[in-house]
Parts: sequence; structure tokens; C-alpha cells
Amino acid sequence: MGRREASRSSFWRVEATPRSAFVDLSIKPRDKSLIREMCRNAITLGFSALGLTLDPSATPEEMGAVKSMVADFEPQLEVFTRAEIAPRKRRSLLNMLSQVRNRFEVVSVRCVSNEVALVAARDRRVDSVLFPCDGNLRMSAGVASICRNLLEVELQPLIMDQGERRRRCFLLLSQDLRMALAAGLPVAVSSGARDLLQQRSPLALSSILAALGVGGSEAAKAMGSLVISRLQANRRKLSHHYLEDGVAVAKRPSC
Amino acid sequence: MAWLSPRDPAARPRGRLRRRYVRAIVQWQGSQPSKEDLIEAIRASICEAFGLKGFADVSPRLVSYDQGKGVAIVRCTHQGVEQLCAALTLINRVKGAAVSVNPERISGLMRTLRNDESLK
Repeated sequence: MGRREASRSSFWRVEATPRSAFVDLSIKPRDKSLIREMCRNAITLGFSALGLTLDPSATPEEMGAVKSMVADFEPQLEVFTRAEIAPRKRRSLLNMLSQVRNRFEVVSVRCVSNEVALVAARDRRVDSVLFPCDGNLRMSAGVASICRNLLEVELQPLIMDQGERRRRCFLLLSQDLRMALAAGLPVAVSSGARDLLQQRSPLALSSILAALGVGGSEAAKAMGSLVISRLQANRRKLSHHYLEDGVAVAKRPSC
Repeated sequence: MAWLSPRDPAARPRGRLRRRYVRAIVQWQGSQPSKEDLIEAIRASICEAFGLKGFADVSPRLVSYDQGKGVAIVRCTHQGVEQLCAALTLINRVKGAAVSVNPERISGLMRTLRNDESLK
């Protein structure tokens, strides 16, 4: 099955996802042998969709191999591909986006400079922006006011760090979230798990968001409807029926 | 006997504490955490995240720990249930061994958690 066929068939399954479905936007397995185990664990924990972060330079063959590894978990678990890029300059961000957008279902930008954050916040090809806990750059009022993408909160550093690093991470994430909520930005949450023991359940992720100052309904949306609607829109664009916003091929003439 | 009426919340008996029970899945790598170690880890995590006042507000108590299935049930006050879930989530090590504690379900009755079909 080709890439387009795969994306079109799974697209219809996502349309049928129940409203209470939970999505973990990102896992980053340390090696490929962990992928299947982490998918199985995600089903146990109660997720119905999982974002698998792959190397942005992965070839279509490598992506197809990974997709076939997890194909037998459907329809219990919908696995989608995600790319995370961390450019330092505006020009390299634009180049990377043009390379990854047509291949991955979700594209996230790790903002390491203000120049990149300002462009990534506005660019329609970006799905989510995230601000790393170990960096100096934070979500500013200027970025929040122009941002049209999701603010992604990755909880892996908060869960796995200890002591002073954890306290700093908690403080920075709560400041980012306060800024984003004040500006009315949508928020998404991801575990960013590297192995089985770093994966967390939907209840666990929402309770951490609550501790960071996010309300119950926003926390539920951050793992559910917001991400699902974004994913559906991206899959619609990747399908070969799509022409532009609001225009799609209804039927192709048979030759 | 107005206080017997369930429709009048103001007339509820004063001394009764409302509690919640949280069922959590415990996964580990290496040595399995004992009940005492898990209790200590929960206490330490709540104190680190929310302080002593938070610990008093949550009032956690490990009421059941099935080491075979890796399922723990923790009781807390009903206001402290979110804090307890967050603190359980933040546990990543118990006595040096890598552990994850994932809150899975919250209920007002322990019977509900024990009789849950998903555990069987």
C-alpha cells in the first residue's frame, strides 16, 4: 500500500474516533525495538492515538517500515507520524518546513531563538510550537499575540528531572501556560516519552496540566479534540483528493 | 430530622470527610517496589510538589497494593485528588529503581475500583 493510500484509509478511521478519545501527541522511542512495546503500553494506558516522532530526514521507505510495524494495532490505536525540527535561523526553518510538511502528519517546531519563534508561531505549515525547558527562550507576550498554532507542552523533562531542574521546569512551564491562556492560545500536551516507564496515562497528563494552572476542560481538549481536529485537517491535506481549503476532488473519471 | 434530608447540602453532618480513591498502575524496571517503599515515594513526591500543607490537604493512604498485578489504590481527600494524581505522575524512582505510577481511575468507592472489569 502506498503512502497516499495509507493516509487516505486511516483518515476515515480518525473521522470515526469517539469524542472521548485521548491522544499522546509525541513519543520519542530510544530505538526502534521499543516502538511496538510503547504502542501496546499506550493502549493499556487508555490512548486511542499516538504521535510517533521520527527523524525529519527519514526516507519514505523508513517511514513505511515504521508504519507497517504498528499497522496491526489499528483500529485500537491510531499511530501518526510527527516531525520535530529545531532550526536556529528563520531561513533554515523555512527550508526544513518545505521538506517535512508533505511527508509528516504533524510538524512541531522547537523554538531555540526568538527569530524562529516569531516565524513558527505564524506559519500555517507548523502545527505546534514548543519551548524547551533547558533553553533560555520562553513564550513572550509578543509571540503569544501573533501565534496561530498550538502551544505544545512536553512533560518528559518535568517527569524525569529531579530537584532544582524539576523546580525550574515547573516554573517555566507554568509561566508559558499562563501567557498562552491569557492570549487565548490553544494548548496541546505530549508525554515525549523515550521508553515505557516514561509514558503516562491521560489522567496523569491532565493532572499535571491542572497543577500547572490549566482548567479541566482545557486539559481535556489538550489531549483530545484540539489535536484530533488538527490531525484530521492534516490528513485531509495529505490525501490526493485535496486541492485547496474547501476544495476537494469528489470523483475522478475512470479511464 | 431535617439533616437527614439528602436534598439539603447545608444540613449535611459536619464531621464527615469526603474521600476519593485513586487506582494507579505501577510499572517498574529491575526490583519491584515494596509497599513500604511505595508509601515513602508517594509521601516524598507530594511533599516535593505541594509542600507539607499540600500533604496535609491530600492526606494520602495506600489502602491496597497488589504486587502481582502492579495495581495500587490510594485514598485521599476529595479536594486533594488532583494533587495526588499529579504527585503520583511525578514519581520516577523508588529506592534507585526506575518506576512509573500512572493514575488510571478515580472513584468515591473502593468497591467500584475493585469490581472494575478492566482489572480482571
